[in-house]
Amino acid sequence: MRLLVIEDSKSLRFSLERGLGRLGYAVDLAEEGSSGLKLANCEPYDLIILDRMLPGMDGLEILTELRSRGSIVPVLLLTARDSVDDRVEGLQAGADDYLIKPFAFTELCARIDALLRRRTGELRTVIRTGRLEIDTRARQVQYASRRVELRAREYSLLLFLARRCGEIIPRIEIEDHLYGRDNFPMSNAVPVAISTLRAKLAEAGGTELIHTHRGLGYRLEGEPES
Amino acid sequence: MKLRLLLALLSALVLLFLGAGLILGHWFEERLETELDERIDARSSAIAGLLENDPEGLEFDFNPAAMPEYTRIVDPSFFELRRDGEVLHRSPNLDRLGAGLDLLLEEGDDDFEVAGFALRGQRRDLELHQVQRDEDEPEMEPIDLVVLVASDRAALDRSLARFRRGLIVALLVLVALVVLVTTLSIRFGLSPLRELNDKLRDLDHESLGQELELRQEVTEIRPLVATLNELFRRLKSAYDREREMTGNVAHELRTPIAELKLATELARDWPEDVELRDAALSTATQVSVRMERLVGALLRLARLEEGRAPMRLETVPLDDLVVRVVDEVRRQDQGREIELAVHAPDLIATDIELLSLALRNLLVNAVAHASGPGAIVVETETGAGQALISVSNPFPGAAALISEGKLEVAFWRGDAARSGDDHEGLGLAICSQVMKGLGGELRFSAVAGRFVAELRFST
Repeated sequence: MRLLVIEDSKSLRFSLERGLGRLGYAVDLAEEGSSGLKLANCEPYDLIILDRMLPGMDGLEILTELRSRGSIVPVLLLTARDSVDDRVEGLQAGADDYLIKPFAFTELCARIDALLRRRTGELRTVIRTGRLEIDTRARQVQYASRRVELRAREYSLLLFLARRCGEIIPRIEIEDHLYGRDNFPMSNAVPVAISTLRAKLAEAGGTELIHTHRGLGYRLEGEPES
Repeated sequence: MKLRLLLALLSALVLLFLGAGLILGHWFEERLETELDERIDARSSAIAGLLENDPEGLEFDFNPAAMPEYTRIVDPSFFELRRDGEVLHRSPNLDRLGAGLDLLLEEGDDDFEVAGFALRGQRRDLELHQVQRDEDEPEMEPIDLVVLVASDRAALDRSLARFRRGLIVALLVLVALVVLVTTLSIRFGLSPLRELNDKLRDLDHESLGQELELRQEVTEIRPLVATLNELFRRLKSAYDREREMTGNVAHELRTPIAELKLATELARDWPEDVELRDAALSTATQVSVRMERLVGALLRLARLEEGRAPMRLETVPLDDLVVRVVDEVRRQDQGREIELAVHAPDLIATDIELLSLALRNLLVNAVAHASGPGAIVVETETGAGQALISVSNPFPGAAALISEGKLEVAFWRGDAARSGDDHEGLGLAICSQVMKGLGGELRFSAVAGRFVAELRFST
């Protein structure tokens, strides 16, 4: 999943990029409003973490601008302002969630997961397709009840495929959602990642789960459990 | 208050009434007694007029029918004619009353001291006149006859008693009326104050902005209501400023705490990540420095606002002080040129530390917000007992900024995000308070695209 963090605090930017990156998210950063808005308009983000008080263009202005252009990307607003009026104002401007500073990292992650689930229409925290089970809360993968150990990027890739189970997803789209602007992948990064993922799933007995459609993209076998 | 007023009024009234009652009573008693005396005088004369002394002896031509007062028992008069202590005649009612009647007289010479008379053993007071008839007619023997006429003063005493009772009743009625009227008057008169009290009791910090209005328009209370409304407006303004300050402080504290919390949580969750650990330690250090600065600035501002900041006046050449502070700031930030145009070598009496703090804050502010080409310029001037230090920097939007009127508000910064770790947004607020404490002022102006801050004070 690809996230955009628009935050003027250097320390918070570093921490968020590092922490979310460790969880497999691709994170792009912007330190002020106008550059953040530019990025949001140009790149396909799965979620935007937006600080409310920014130099120049503030968070609410960015949000209003995004929504006026028809963007439906989920936005989580970060702010030190906790009054009811401020929260209402933020939500009415188009924010999907509102998190007050200081916050626990685990809470931030839980809210990000919830927003992403909502975006893909998931109702549960566990995604099942066939014998493959992905617990998005614990970030654990099992195949036929056997644990599959994946690295962060591999997990994100599998989750991305699982959320669009049965669809053929182009490589370029996978690249866009798994890698940030500053981590532009090499041309074979996705095939290598798919190959590694296949091997680990096969160890657990999950063979022939990921299909390659030459020239089109990749598809995860099966139907999501309804 | 009501009770005290009532007691005072009642005391005055009772004293007045008692005094008046005493005077009236005394006058009434005197009048009645005078009337009685006159009546007895008249009766004495009448009795004396009934005496005829002719060569055949003394004749007393008394007709009881013509003088019923000497026969009746109710409201009677009495008489006795005596010669040489012997009773010659007495009034019929004395005879009817029978033995035991005794005029208690102390006889001495020709004067009688009248003490009273006893009627059936009960002493009664009376008015008694002595008429001593001593006719000196050449053809008659002179006689020495005493006519005693007495009138029972029981009726007089009853009248006096009735009068006194009447006075007491009137006093009690008057007291009751006064209590009633005073209570009603006070209650009515104080009802606007009660209404005011009820409204004040219902006031809280949320309703400070509402004007007090009374149903009854009372001229005497109007100034009080106006003063209270003015007080509440000032209180609301102070409360709003405090609330804004508290919100601003919370905001200022939250962001660095969020940075520290996130950095340390990540370092804890991924202890093997050296970069995260180093970042957490660095953040912890920076945040603690910022917090220390912020807390120090807040304390300083609070003390200045309360007037508790200790001041120590010393004399120093103004230019020397300015040059020292400018050099200090230059050492800390060499990015922007600072020009000195000092023309005030005169000695001034001031608190060197506080004035240096004010100037330093102005310079730091100028360095942080200077925008566009040009140096920061510091000028000094003295004359007519006044001193001026001005700090100007290039800033195209200076006029608009000054018109917002928020430059001296705590935590106000040029950008609403309050970005930047280098200052807390309290510099100008502290500067303003310092100058108030020094008996001076901080002024702002915009001149030819430059922002100008001036410290003015007396030397």
